[in-house]
Amino acid sequence: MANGPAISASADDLVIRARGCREAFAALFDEYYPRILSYCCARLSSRAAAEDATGEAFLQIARHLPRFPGSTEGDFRRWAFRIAGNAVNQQRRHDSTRRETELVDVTASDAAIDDVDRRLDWPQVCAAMRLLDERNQAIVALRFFGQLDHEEIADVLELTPGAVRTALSRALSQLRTELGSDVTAAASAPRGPNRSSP
Amino acid sequence: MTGQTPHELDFHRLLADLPRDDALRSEHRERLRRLALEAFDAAQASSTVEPKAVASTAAESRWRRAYLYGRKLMTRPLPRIMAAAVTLVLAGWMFVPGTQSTASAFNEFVDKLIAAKTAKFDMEMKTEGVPMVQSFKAEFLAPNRLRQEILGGVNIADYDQGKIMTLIPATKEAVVMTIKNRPQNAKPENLFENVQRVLQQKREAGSEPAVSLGEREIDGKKAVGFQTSWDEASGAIGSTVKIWGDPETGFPIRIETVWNGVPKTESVMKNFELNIPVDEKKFSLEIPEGYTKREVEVDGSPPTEEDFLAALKTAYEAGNTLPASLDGIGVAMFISKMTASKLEEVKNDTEAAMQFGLKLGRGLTFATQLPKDADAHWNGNGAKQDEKDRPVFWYKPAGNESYRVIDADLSVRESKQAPEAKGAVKLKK
Repeated sequence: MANGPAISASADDLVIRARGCREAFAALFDEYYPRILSYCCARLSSRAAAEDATGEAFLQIARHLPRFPGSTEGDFRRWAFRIAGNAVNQQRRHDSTRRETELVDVTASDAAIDDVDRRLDWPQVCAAMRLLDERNQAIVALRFFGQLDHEEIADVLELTPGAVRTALSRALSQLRTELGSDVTAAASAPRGPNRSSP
Repeated sequence: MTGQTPHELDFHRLLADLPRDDALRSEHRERLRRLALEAFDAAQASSTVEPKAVASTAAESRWRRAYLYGRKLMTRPLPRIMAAAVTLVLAGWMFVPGTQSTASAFNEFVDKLIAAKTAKFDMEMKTEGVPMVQSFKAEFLAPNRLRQEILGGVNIADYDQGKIMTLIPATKEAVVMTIKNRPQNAKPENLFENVQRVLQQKREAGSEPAVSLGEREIDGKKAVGFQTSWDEASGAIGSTVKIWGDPETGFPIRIETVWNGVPKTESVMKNFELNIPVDEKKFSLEIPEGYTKREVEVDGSPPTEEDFLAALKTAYEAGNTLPASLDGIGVAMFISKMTASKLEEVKNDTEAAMQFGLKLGRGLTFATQLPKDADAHWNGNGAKQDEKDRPVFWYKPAGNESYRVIDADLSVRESKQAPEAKGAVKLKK
């Protein structure tokens, strides 16, 4: 795997074993739960809707894993995020009213947390992301929340890697405009000796 | 992430700095992990997927609706504490003493469990239709006392006294439920003591007391497991108990119980400490200083047709429809909907809300616990109160030749023949 946290040196073995072994599947769940939830949060913006989509995705993965044809962790990652993407789309189609309602809740909740340092908050980023078209939202979410590289995103969304790079660059420019260049510039400013780069 | 462009790096840093609320994730994660593993197990067990897939899609859709109702409800603290307290009461209706008493050996860690006079353990309960797993610290003190510490409250049960006290620190309320009219042969028990009793009976059983589950690693320890079950033949409701223990020390590690009633209820007990000193004061039913006492009487007698009718009547009174079905999902959706509307009405009046939930649960239990030979059927999906001649429920009482038929207007009549109604569903116990 090119990017993202590794499960272990034998990640590919784990994926193969997970097709028939409960403990191996549990290990995959533990590794992928935060990434898929994070991805769904980025696409859906409300916690409840994201948790529902994550739930749908993992139940689908669990049901179909015995017949999963891949043999590497990369195969599994692409397959899992495709399923998560479908769950997100389904959630958007069937649950739009609830999503809007809960977005208000999230905004209120996070605003309280953000009182101390109000540079930028999560609802603002969500709102800006929602102005992107669906494909670009998916690209940004897979890149920054699913931690997939350009080639993997291309595979998940059935695009070319070049198209992913171009779309991502444009999407980030648009986000920069929406969020204010001063904010994103502040994020990229030098941070002191202990701050490590991602 | 590697291979990022400067723009990507900026955005990544910006995201890393954002305040995010992660407080509820572990709860969701644990619940989903369990569900996903169950789905994985089911997928492993099923080699013929197509016919099951069609059936399961419909069931999942209904489950999803129940999940959403329940999810909304269970995010509030009062329903969470209520649910845990009501579960303690339901334990009295769930478990009727069995009558088996033949002899045979079982396993070393079973001995340790049976001999326990005190215990501390962590417990999780999952009830069908209730999306959140209820987690609590439990302490057991023989005979028949149990203390549960749950987020936002404490439940203290003394089944010999027939009392369960719920303490709610946020409102300084002590709700004391008194169980009246308990049948002499159906002494309510806490789950821990019930497991002890079942194991005792199984150890004394003549043959096949338990099935080996083999070895498994639990929390980094090697464990061996056994599964046993008890059913109507033994005087109790179809249920299973899985026990995992340390083969070296004979100490129990994990006990999983499944009660296959309506609603299906699963529990996990783990992190046991047995026969350790416990503070008896923690099991006291005295009202703590500063708390306001609320009293709720619970009818512990077996529920009747009258209770069932009363539960259905509340649905009409609240402007709701009758349950779509009387299986686990239908009952869960009905209770969730009804309780949500009731909580609005009583403005968080704990006593009223508990009374209401118990009344509903008791009424529906009458129908869902009828034996197979009662030939009970439900035809109430979409029924309206003015449909006078529409049978919504019928059953044959024990020893009766004729059926009792309840119509949509909740009138009751006798009939020698079972009504014929398209869409009626036979209740499976």
